[in-house]
Order: sequence, then structure tokens, then C-alpha cells
Amino acid sequence: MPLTVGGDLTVRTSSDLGGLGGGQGLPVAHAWSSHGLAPLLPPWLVLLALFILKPNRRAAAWLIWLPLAIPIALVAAPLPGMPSETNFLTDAVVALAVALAGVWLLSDYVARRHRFFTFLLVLLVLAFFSALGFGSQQGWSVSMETIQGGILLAWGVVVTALSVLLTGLTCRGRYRPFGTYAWLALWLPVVWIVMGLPLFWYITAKMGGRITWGQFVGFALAVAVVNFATLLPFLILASASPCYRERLKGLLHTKSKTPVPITPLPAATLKTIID
Amino acid sequence: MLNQSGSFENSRLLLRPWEKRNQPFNINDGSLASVRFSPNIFLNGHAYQLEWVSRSQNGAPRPVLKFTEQSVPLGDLKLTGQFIRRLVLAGHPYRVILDQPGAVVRIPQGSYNEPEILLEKNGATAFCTADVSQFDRSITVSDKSPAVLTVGGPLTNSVIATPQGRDLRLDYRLLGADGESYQRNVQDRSHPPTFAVYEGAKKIASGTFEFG
Repeated sequence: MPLTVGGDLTVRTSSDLGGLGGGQGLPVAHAWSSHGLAPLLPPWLVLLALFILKPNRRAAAWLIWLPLAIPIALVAAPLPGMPSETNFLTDAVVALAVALAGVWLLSDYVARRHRFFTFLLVLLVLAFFSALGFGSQQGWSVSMETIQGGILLAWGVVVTALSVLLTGLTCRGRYRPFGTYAWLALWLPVVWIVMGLPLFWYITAKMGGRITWGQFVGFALAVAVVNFATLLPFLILASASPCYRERLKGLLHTKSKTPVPITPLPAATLKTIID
Repeated sequence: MLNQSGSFENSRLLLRPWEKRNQPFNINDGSLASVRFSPNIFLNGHAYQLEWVSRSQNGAPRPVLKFTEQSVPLGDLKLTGQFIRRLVLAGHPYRVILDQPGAVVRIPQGSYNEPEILLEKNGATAFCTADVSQFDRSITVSDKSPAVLTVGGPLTNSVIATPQGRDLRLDYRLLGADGESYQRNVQDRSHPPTFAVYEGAKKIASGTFEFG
């Protein structure tokens, strides 16, 4: 339905009932109050406002819109064939992408001398922007899907922040693009599984749910893949743009792997060789 | 159908025409061929007490379900819906099972609730069970005035529209005479129910419902 439509709507259903009733259903009225595009704007306006900050007053900073192109496309045109019940998952992915853009734009302020404080600030910024993004996607209303998506997103925010922290630790202070990708691809599923264990225990032991280990691990891996796919465009941007590379290095507490400088041989040795 | 411990608790009773005795059945297919077991059942005008007895057959004891007809005071129940093929009423003192009941039936006096209904017309069937429709209607049958139960056909296509985030969620409903919710026993998935949304006289959206 067009986003701008609002007012008194009438919904009619029809189905062949084979003699049990009429095919045409009775009209059902619904007062649909659409807020148009306005509820969708806050996260994007806040991201735009971040360009006022001094570290972002450069052309390269605007490259952040490139990794955001995919989530923007998802907002404009949802994936065909996806059931409407899964819209909240798309909303969660978009919200996480917005939050990552927030971290990338604020990284000069988020990266602190101590790794733990960097982790806390990354977590804080991710939480703020993902809440802003998800709330706007959900039209600032609460439904069962909002709660389900919100819980999943909250987990995703913590997992992402922890995975970035662990990737920085395992890179041992050296920045290697593909090494960073690989470590993140490893840590995301591991952290998703570990973080999901309490929930798995609660559902199976406390609520009597029937989830097998295989289903739990499969779900955690699937979510980790989506999480990594959301993060990957931002990592590629960091690899391609020196501006964002420095920011990622700051977040990971890593330095570039520089070649060992070639020093001239000592004079005595050189003399020996000539002799 | 006894449970594994050999008692009638949580067991079901299969009640269908003798000529269909060898056909496979499924307790969840909505046919209402099986009903939740009760030691007191009222089946098509007759009240029975059910008990478990052991009879010798070819020298070996075999369990047999014995139906002993009872005499009970009856009251009138008026059914206002149409196309009812089977109606099952839970309650006290009897579990009532009525096949193709008329507009007024006589059943044991008592209190009943959770009606389960199977409708049939020209080969098309639909069912309503208490757990599916969350339809809990209580009635009291006495000798004074007829109790009225409004269930059955004709059925009506309907929809529940619920705002969900920035979307408007549409849930298809197949409603009976009193708004109780039915499901088709056999649904042609190649022709799902369709919907159209109008703003005034202008159609602004349309589509088909997704199963599931």
C-alpha cells in the first residue's frame, strides 16, 4: 500500500466457499492513519547531522552512503517473496546498518585509548542508532513483531560490539583487511551461539519449548551470516577508503602491517665483501 | 483409542459410519471423526454410559467398550446455523455428539461449552474447533425454555486488519453464523483467498493471502 495513503479504508475479501457461503466477503472498514514518510526520516537526519562534526567535514566521509545503499534499497522495495510476517527482520537489518554507519561516522570520538572503553562506546552508539532505526522502521508503534525484532536486534548489537572487540584482540595490533574479515566471520557465529545459549536454555528448560541443538545452531549460524553480510560493506569501505580505514583501525586498536625498512649494511661488512 | 497406560484419560473415541470403519483417519484433520473421550456420551438421541469390560474370545480375554443406554431428562436446543454435519458439545453431564441435527434437538439437561462444528454442503466442508477458533460459548439446557446455539453456516469471508509498524496486516477469517472462525478441511492452495483495499470507491491495493 502507498506510504502516503491514510483515511477510512475498506477491505473486501473473496474466496470460493463451494456452497458453504457467498464468495464475496462483507466489507470491513479500517481507519488507517498513515504518517507518510515522516516517521522514517529521524535516523537519516541524525546521520546527516553527523557531517557537521569536524572529522566528517571532508568529501571522503560521504562515502558512508555506499554501504547504506543496500538497506535503503530494502526500505524502498522489500525483497520479493518474503512473507509480510518477516518484515521486522528486514527492519532489524536496516537498523543495524544505520547503527554501523553511526559508529563509522563517530569513530574518532568512540575510539579511546583503552580497548574496553572503545567497546563500551561502540555498544552505546550501536544501541542508540539501532533503536532509532528500528523505531522509525516500525512506525514508532509497538506490536509483537516489534518486540521480537527488538530482542533480536538488541542481541545483534551486543554480538557485533563483542565481535569487533574480539577481532581487535585476535588481530594482535596489526591491521590486515582480509584477516579482519576472516576473524569477524569467525567471531560472529561463535558469539551468536554463546550469547544465544541462555535464551536456548530458557526456551527449552523453562518454557518447555522443543528446539533441538541442531535447530539452535542452524538458526545462530543463519543470523550470523546475515549479521556479517550487513557488516561486510562497511569493512569493504574501510579497505577502500583511507579515511575509513584509519577509523576502523582506531576501533580495532590495530596498526597497518608496514614492511620492515631496508637498512644499509654496516661499512665494515661492505668493505669485507669488496675485498 | 486408549492411551499408552491403558486408561481413558486424554483418549479419543472414533465415531463414524460402519462402512467407513477401514478408512484411515487423522484426529487433526477437522473431520471430527474422533471426539475426546467421556464415560458419558449422548449420541444422536441416545445417552450412554461407557465402561471397559473384558470378554473372552477364543479363550483369550479381550477388552471391550460396553455402551449401556441411560434414561436422562432432556431439554430443547435450538440451532440457528445451517449445514451442520456434526456438532460436538463438551460439558456436564454428557458429551453430546449430533450428526446432521435439525433446527431443534433434544439433548440431556445440563451445561455445555466449547462447541466443535463440522459443516458440509455440496461436498465442501469446514470445521470449527474450540482450540482453533478460541470460540467458547456456554449454554444451559433445561426443561423450561429452549436454549439457543448460534453456530454454523452460511459462512462469510472476512478479514481482520491490524496496524503493524508501518504496515497494515490483513488476516483472513472464515466466519460462521455467530462470528466463530472456521477452517476449510480441504483448501485449494492454487486459489488462495484474495483481498482488495479501497479508499472510498478507489481500489488502492489488492492481492492474495499467504498460507501459514
